[in-house]
Amino acid sequence: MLRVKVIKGVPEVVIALEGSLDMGTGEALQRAVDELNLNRIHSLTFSLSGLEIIDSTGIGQLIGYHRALSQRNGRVYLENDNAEIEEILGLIGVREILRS
Amino acid sequence: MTLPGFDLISATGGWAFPIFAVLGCYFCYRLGRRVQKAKTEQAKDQELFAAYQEVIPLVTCGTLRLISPEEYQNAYSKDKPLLVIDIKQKDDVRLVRQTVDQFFSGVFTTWSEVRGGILTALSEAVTNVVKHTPGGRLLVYLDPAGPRFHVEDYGSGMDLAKLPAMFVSGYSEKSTLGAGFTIMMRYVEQIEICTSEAGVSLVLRTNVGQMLSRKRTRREGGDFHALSCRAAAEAGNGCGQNHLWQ
Repeated sequence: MLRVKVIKGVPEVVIALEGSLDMGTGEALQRAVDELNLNRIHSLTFSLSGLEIIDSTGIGQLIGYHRALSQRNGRVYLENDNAEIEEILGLIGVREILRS
Repeated sequence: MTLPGFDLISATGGWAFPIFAVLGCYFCYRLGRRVQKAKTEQAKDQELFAAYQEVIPLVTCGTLRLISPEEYQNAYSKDKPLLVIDIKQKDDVRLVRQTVDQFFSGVFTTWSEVRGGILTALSEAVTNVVKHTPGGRLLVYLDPAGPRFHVEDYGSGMDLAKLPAMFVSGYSEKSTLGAGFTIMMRYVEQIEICTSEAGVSLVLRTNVGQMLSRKRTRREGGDFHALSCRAAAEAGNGCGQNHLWQ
């Protein structure tokens, strides 16, 4: 289960994620981002502290938003103070691309 | 009774015979070449398998092993699974996690401390089945060290030549295969890969005690993996500076 809460709307969007972000739950996040419309977003901050699980598919989805926004001169940030989630982000090397 | 070929030869006054003979020789030659090529390819595959079987455990500190279908059968065919869960669609990634989580929370008192890593590793293995194959199943066992998971798929097997891609740690633009295996190798004690034309079976062995020590070491500011690799190097198993993940 993934709960997606849009804390702050366009153009400086903040989205808090709770639960698990993986292949089966990514659609809920995609729907929320689609509704906000990427073209109107200047920056997209994901708060991951409420996540229990994130796997490589979930991280791939976040990197996809980074790529899409980079083409529009936008930025993606990952906020997180959950040690287990941070370990996985570090393991995959995402922190070299997406910072807090 | 006359053979149709001979009818044709006599009907053409015998001139067709050399043509048939040449054609026959040519087809025999082509068939021979094809058989030879198949044998060479099979021999190449066997050589590649033998080389990987030797090298993979060395470069992964023994975390990853390649085993043959016979070895898989001999080692595990008598074990009775505690759980069998079908894997077919996206949502099964979550369902598998949920079922395993519920099951082991009643088995281990320390499950809450290790569940995150184990369930993430399991997510990666199950996601591979959903993404790349028509489906599969998860079999769950319990060893003295911790849960053991067999993720079997009904695909057409793994291309051995692409196996080194698994060692590319980090997120890759072309494929997330490297990232998935990096995560799995971090949270399980050992992964055995068995691939054949009937599909791939992954055996994920966990070690709950080791995971707890790692957590404790990390809380105290150390790096468990660096320590364990150093210990392995001191024990002389060829690991040490060359480990592939952080």
